[in-house]
Amino acid sequence: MAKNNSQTLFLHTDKKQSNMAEKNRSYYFLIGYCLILIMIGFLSEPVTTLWAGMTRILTSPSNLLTDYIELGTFGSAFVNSGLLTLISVLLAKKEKIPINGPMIAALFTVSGCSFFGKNLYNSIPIIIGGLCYAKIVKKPFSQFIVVSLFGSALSPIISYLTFGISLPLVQSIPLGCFVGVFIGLILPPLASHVLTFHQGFSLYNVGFTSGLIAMMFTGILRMFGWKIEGKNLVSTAFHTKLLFFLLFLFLLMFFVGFVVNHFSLKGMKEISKTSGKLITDFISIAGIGATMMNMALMGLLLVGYTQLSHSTLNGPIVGAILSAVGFSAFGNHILNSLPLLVSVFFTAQFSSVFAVDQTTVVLAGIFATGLAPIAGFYGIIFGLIAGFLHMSLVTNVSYLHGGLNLYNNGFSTGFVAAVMVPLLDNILQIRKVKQHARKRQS
Amino acid sequence: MQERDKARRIVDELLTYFFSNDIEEIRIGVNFTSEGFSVEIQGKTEQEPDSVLHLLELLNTPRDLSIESYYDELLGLTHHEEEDYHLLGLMIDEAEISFDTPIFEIKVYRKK
Repeated sequence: MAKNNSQTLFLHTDKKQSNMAEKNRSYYFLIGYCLILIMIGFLSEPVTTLWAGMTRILTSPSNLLTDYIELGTFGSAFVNSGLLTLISVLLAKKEKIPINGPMIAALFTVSGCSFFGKNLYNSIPIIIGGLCYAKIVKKPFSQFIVVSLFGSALSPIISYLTFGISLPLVQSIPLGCFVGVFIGLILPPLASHVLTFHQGFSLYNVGFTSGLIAMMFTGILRMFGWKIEGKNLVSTAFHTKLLFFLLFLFLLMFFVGFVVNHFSLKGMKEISKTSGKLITDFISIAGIGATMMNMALMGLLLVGYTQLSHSTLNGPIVGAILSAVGFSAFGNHILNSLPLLVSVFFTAQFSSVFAVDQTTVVLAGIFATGLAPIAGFYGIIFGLIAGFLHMSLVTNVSYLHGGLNLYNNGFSTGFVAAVMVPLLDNILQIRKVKQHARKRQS
Repeated sequence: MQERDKARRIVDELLTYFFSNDIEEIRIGVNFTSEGFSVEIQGKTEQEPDSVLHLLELLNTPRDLSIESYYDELLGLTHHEEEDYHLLGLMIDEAEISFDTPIFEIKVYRKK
């Protein structure tokens, strides 16, 4: 590959695609995860209760915060999440997409948000929209599937139009589906362009894009007299069960990762050295085993955070943890995420309007880790500032979209990163120029 | 994003690599064919850049269409970090890096 001496050097890339067995193994892990969720659902309650819960989930407007465990049942929320994730995994497999960091982040986000807003009815039109976009631009759908999966953040718009504005179903179903397809159609070019706004320093890019779309949509609806207000439907009776589920999942994930990684922690150091800025794909950097261990450790850290906050686990909190765990294949690790958690915790502690055990505050803490690249790239102090700004902004931006964007925190992290990054670059540039001048003087 | 815009961003990223390694007298060539395009960038330096093996490692990232079309807007922005060379790697099919004192050259090739 290389001929090298002090005078000459010649290097050539030797790109190797992952082999079929490796690809399939990643898919089996993901399918296994979906089956665990579905099994928990079916073992929790009788099929009739499950069905009644599923019906309530499918026919709810689903805007934030609608905890599917409270609205439906414990089992139906798990089945909803398992089924929707399974369909997404099978769709990715059909499109022959290699399992990489962004794909894991997208799948776990689908899984997590299926505990509080995404369901089989309101997610599919957005994916169909993505398919239509691929047809229009004459490119394979595999190029847009990641955005389409993330894009179901806007699925409450479909449910809201169908079940929330008192139109007869004959009119509201086609209306909801049409708007869903339209959203799926405009999302890929928008999401790609919005990256330039925060320059890859907010991991939840589609969250920000979806926030912009939902904000406009909500504005239009409000202009014609429709009232769109957030909800606060959260469960309180399943804390212990959910805690056991999360602990079981992350310990299993760590164990499987450790085995796949040949009973070693190799690759963990490489992961912890990264800033997390987009795009940091841990599977490409350290392999699937180390990535799974990183995801598990992040999961345990976030569970620890909820316990330290004395909050009661519910659907949205479990969903947020699963989403952040997905992003632990794509940017989040303990070192760059911890400053954000600490910052949100203390900001809420010292604030007169927040309490650390409130669901919205816990969600703000968990999702603040979307700003981990700021802590990873600029340092801990700036990570703490980012967490503070996120906590102050996140509850204000939710009014703009009335809860129709499930990634409200992603909307906020986009703004925080977009404000901080150019300023920090400027400050650091001035500092660099001064240091350079000092060196020249000496 | 059109292929011409992708070529512009790839050139931007490579040019920044040359600047950050104090490579001078830079010449750039971009050639489009029916199958794709190639970018050649050449400059003069007395010392081989320290990070050249790491750059090769990043450019060795397998081409991945599922990520490329979404994240390609990040290429050629203000920031030019390791992650951006990784992104560059997954957007190209082949790369060659050569150094024959004082000429340092990088060639990349991307199929449509």
